Amino acid sequence: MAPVLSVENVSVRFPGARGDITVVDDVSFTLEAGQSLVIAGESGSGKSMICQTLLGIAPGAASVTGTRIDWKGRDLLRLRDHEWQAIRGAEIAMIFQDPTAALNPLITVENQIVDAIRAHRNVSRAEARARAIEVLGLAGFPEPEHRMRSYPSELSGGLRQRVAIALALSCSPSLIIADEATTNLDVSIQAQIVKLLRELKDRLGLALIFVTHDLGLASDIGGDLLVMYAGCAVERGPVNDVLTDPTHPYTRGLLRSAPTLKSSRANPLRPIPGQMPKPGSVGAGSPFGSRCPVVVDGVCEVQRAGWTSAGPRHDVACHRFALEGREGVR
Amino acid sequence: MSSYVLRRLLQSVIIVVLIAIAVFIVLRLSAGDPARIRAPVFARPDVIEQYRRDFGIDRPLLEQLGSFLWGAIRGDFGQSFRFQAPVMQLILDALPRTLLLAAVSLVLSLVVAVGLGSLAAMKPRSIWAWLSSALAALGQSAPVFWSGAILVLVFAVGLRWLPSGGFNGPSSLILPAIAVTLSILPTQLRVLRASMEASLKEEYIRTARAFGLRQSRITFVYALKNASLPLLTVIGVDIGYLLGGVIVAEVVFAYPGIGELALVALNARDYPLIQGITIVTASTFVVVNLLIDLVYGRIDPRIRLERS
Ligand SMILES: Nc1ncnc2c1ncn2[C@@H]1O[C@H](COP(=O)(O)OP(=O)(O)O)[C@@H](O)[C@H]1O
Ligand code: SF4
Ligand SMILES: [Mg+2]
Repeated sequence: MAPVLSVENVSVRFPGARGDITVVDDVSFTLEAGQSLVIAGESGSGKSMICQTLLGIAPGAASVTGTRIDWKGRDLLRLRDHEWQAIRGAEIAMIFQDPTAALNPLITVENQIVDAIRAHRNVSRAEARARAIEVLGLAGFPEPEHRMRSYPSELSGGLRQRVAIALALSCSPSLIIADEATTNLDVSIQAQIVKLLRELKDRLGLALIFVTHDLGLASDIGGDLLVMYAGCAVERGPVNDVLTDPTHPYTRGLLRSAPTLKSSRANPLRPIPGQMPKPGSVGAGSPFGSRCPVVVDGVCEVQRAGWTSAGPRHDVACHRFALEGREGVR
Repeated sequence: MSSYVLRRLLQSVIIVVLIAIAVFIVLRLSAGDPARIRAPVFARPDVIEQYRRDFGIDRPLLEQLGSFLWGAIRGDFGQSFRFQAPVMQLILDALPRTLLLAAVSLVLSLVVAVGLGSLAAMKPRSIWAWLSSALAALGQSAPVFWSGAILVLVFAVGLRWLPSGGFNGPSSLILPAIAVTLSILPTQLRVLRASMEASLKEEYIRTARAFGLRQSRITFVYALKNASLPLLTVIGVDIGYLLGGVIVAEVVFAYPGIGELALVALNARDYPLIQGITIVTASTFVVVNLLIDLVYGRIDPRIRLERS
């Protein structure tokens, strides 16, 4: 099946005092209709920038370049304003990290959803309202008929995020991007929302991009996993393959430091020493070089690694792995 | 909510009563005897005494204060010394014209502040941004009597497009309204522009954009609703400034409103008329502030929550 979304060599740069700062560095991935992709990486690794690029809402200062972002045959890197407008919310919808900031505090839940519907559909207020009740129901928002007259400030954090999900569902998009949609929630509510998103994806046949800095949530979503580090994609493959058989030293380090994962139980808790480099300070070499325990001297500092196959549809960008295979990164 | 309104109403009444007492005292302390001003020059002492008795200012001060307050409660401010007519009637005659001028000026400045301020916030390098800064600077540096005089010179004396003063239908309203608008616009424009700039940077604006809402709806509903709260606060504070501007404009344009009436009353040391005008003006001020407060609560559900 042909992918519905295909991102090819996309970079995002901000102008800095000493030249451009690259915050997304030559990232590529594909996503098929109805499938899910988890993008995981530490805070600041460029995940949100990628998401915003897919909706054309990156900050004005950002310059987005690349070969192509193919969305159902159109190139998102070369769209006019009105073409973007027709896609936003209607074909691709986004759930933001902080529902408190992302929802307008002075407009009722009902009106925010009705506005989103009427931005794309030529329907009466009553019809839009009926649709709002329907999507709020899908998102597990209790008693939508009368509680949708509330303002966001009158709802709990979990309910606000359900409103944001309903908003995303309102125009039946074929792709939903959840950018750390569960990060600000209590753990128990987090689990409910993850479950809800996975169910909605299966039930409505949505494609889902689930962004998280918590690898532990990846297996709950399933599908493919893309691991990001300092703006670069370092490992990609089916979630289960990557989690049970991580091959990039960064992914391995992350899994060792995450106490909840099955694969980590055998190993003692050992967080990766050091810090992710600031954007712009990674030169031509491997972005993980400064923290890598198995760095290849004379190679990793000067040259970025290309993709090497680590299994069916499972790739890793690492010199050590390319040279020595699994033994080298152990 | 309703107990909040009651509390605010009670506060307002107390403020107005205190103002009434203050103006009564200040008038009695200030120089100038209404009887001497009213009586012919070189009038005999017994004539002046007769005026004193007629005006009721020969009675003990406390008694005067008592009957003033008692009358005011029943809406009776007594007889004007100068016009020999009920103060209430004189005020009711002039007040609508003053309120009209104030309302037209306020609406005009709000429309300009919201329109121009929003455009300037959205496009900081456009002609609108420039125009908004220029208007703000102009209004800031030109007091009402000065801009009023210039407007009269250009449009009434020079071009003869509009009447220079008096009140003969809507055309008499244009120049005074522009003069007053110019004086209250700068603060409104600056506040709206700044709060609009802040509001447009909020995440909920990015959300609205991410869902394909039209830019006009994003600006004039999603951002403006939030940006209007600081503007409302400014209007509350500015109401006194607005009334002051209106009064000056009335004098400059010989516009027959409360301001003009107040000037005459002051010159005649017309105690009842001055007292009546002060109470009515203070009440207007307090009522408008109360209304703004209630509107604030209507727009912002978080405030409503806090008050209940
Ligand atoms: N408006 C901006 N100007 C300059 N740099 C920015 C801007 N927004 C984000 N960045 C930088 O881009 C990098 C990636 O940010 P982001 O995509 O938000 O990371 P993540 O979502 O993975 O936490 C960060 O280092 C951040 O500092
Ligand atoms: S071995 Fe080299 S390429 Fe691989 S992660 Fe370490 S530094 Fe990067
Ligand atoms: Mg982020």
